[in-house]
Amino acid sequence: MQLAVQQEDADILLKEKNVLDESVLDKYRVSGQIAQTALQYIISLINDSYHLSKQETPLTVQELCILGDSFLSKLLSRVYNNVIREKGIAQPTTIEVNELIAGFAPEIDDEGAYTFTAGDVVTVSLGAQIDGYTSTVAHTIVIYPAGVEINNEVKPNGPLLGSKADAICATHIATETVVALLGLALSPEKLPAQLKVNGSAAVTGGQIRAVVDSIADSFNCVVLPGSKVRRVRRFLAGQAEGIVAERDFKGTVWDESHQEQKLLQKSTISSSTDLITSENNTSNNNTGTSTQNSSAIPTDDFVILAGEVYQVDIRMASLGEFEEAGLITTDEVDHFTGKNNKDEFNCKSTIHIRDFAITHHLKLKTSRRLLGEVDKRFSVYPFKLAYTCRSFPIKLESDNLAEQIAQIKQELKTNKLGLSELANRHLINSKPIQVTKFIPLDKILLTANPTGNRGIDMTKPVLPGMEVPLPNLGVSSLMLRGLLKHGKPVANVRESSTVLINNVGNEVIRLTGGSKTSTPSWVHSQYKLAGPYVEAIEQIVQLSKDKRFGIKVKECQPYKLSQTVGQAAESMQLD
Amino acid sequence: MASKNSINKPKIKISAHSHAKTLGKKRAARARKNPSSRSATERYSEKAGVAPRPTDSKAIALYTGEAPKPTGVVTNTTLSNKRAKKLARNQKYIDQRNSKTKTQEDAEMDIDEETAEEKQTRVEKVKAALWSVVENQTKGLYKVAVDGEGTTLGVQAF
Repeated sequence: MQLAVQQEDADILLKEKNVLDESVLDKYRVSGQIAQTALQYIISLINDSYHLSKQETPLTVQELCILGDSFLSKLLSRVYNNVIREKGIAQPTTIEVNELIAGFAPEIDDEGAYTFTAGDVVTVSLGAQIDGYTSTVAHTIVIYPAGVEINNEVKPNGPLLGSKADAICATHIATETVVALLGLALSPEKLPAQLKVNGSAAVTGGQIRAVVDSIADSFNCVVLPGSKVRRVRRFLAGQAEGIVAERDFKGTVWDESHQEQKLLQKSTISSSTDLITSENNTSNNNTGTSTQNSSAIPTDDFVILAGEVYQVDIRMASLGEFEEAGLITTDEVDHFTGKNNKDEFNCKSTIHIRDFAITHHLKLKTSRRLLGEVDKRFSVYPFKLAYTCRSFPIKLESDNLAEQIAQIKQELKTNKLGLSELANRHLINSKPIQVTKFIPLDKILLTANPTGNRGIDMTKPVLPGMEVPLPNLGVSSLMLRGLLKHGKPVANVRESSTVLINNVGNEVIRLTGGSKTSTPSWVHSQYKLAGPYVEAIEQIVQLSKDKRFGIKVKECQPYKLSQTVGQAAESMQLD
Repeated sequence: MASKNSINKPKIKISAHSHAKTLGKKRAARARKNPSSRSATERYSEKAGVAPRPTDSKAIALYTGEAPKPTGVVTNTTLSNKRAKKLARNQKYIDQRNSKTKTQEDAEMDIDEETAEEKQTRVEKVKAALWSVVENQTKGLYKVAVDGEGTTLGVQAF
């Protein structure tokens, strides 16, 4: 279905409103600050309960999620009141441990005991939007075993080693490099000679992919499907990817097909290079023609321009644990127990997003009320059921946190009924919870695939044009899903940051991430940055170090965490 | 209704009836021939040549599978009714001829299945190449060089 939007209105919405003038910049900046502060808050909560053991019972993921969301709402309630129509949580707080990669934000009434153990890598991701100008952030931290006391301060015993550490190193370096590379869009003449294509200086999607892939390779890592460096526009921050396709998509996206291509490049058979080149040609041709029809299909042929905002979202996993060749894909977790005679992890997805293309007259009064509220309060951004409760957000300053949480649990029950009708009528879509799994290559090669690449896995959210995960082998996403029974879970690491390339002030504003909130945990990898782009990467990072060298990078500073909030979290006695 | 042979047959009624019938037939034929409207075709149907209605939105931010094709060739020449009929008739014959040759071509295409075979061999080539990767991996050819120094990030703090 199409929504009727006049061309003039579309021009205003997509072009004029995305021009980075003073008010737009300020909205971006404030949303960045809020996201930064919330990230810092959640990390401090995790530290308090797992590292500094300030609480008797450590906070569970459910509690961390609702505290994070409440904190975000509280910060949002203080800014831009009565000035703009919409503001809110752009991405609910999700907390993913090890192999979980996306969408894990259990509701407070979930009874699973989701806590962390030493050696886990925990990814916290969240986002805020003000008037549709969105900042999202994700950062991975390490849970260390009990620390030692040095100078009256508890500190970790030693750095994290092994494959998880490799992934953290690679992801951190890749993110920093891409941020600096984006900044070079302001002064492309400073681009290292190695990265110039045919002598022309412009930052393109192909360069980003090449650089990130080479960093991943040198740390024996793989860039996971779902990673992307994409342009963000007002209300279009990738929150509905896989549900609503976006015209004029601009960004580099990684999926399984790129892993397949890398494996083909490794092959020692001489004809394999022809295979890749022929495939590249055909795919380029395809995309070339298809971009005319609709540029919703992502390609690497784009140039990063000053005056745009980008989301850098890089997820990596290490192959260090596996002897055999293979590729890493994502699997959707559902709530059906007892499949395959296995004791698998089950969980219901909790993050929902409205699909405005669908209308339906609802039967239940509760669902009608819920739909009205969803349309009004969350618009195109994802939400959790807890947000619709009257007791949300939790008042973090008060002492009766346990009571408030019990109240929310009560209110969730009534809303659940309405939610199921909305979901059944496809008025809302649930975002799947995904885990990363490693599939050995020989298992894929040995499978009979008589039907070819027909068969699309509907539960898997993919961007248009990326429906077939392994195009060279002709393996469909449904087939790949069947092969997941051979899959082994693999821990992943994610760093995400929103970067604004300000053409007016000639500076890069890093809205989220950076040295204040996303400092890497203490890790040691046995690998070192290598590959064809080492010098170029070092040069780029050097350029971004100081504005005198070339790129002026400003970071959004988080607000100071108030003492009262900290105390409330400390004195929280749940259960 | 009275029979054809009856004395007081409703002559006008019968002729009007047959006249209406022929008109209806013509109308139906015209409707069949003209392109169907957008609302009558499915969203992702192959028949993408459906003319967009003026009320169709020109929304940019939504993906519908394909962009509407550029339409609206402006012309100033006017056609007489007679000439238009002639053109339409000729077009009918041209279409018939074309469709005939096309079906012949299709029949020829079905005989050789080279394209399908080629596809098969391509997948096999890819598989062979990937098997070599599997073997080389077990031999340890792709080991990433471990550095003595390594990389350390972060500081000793939570």
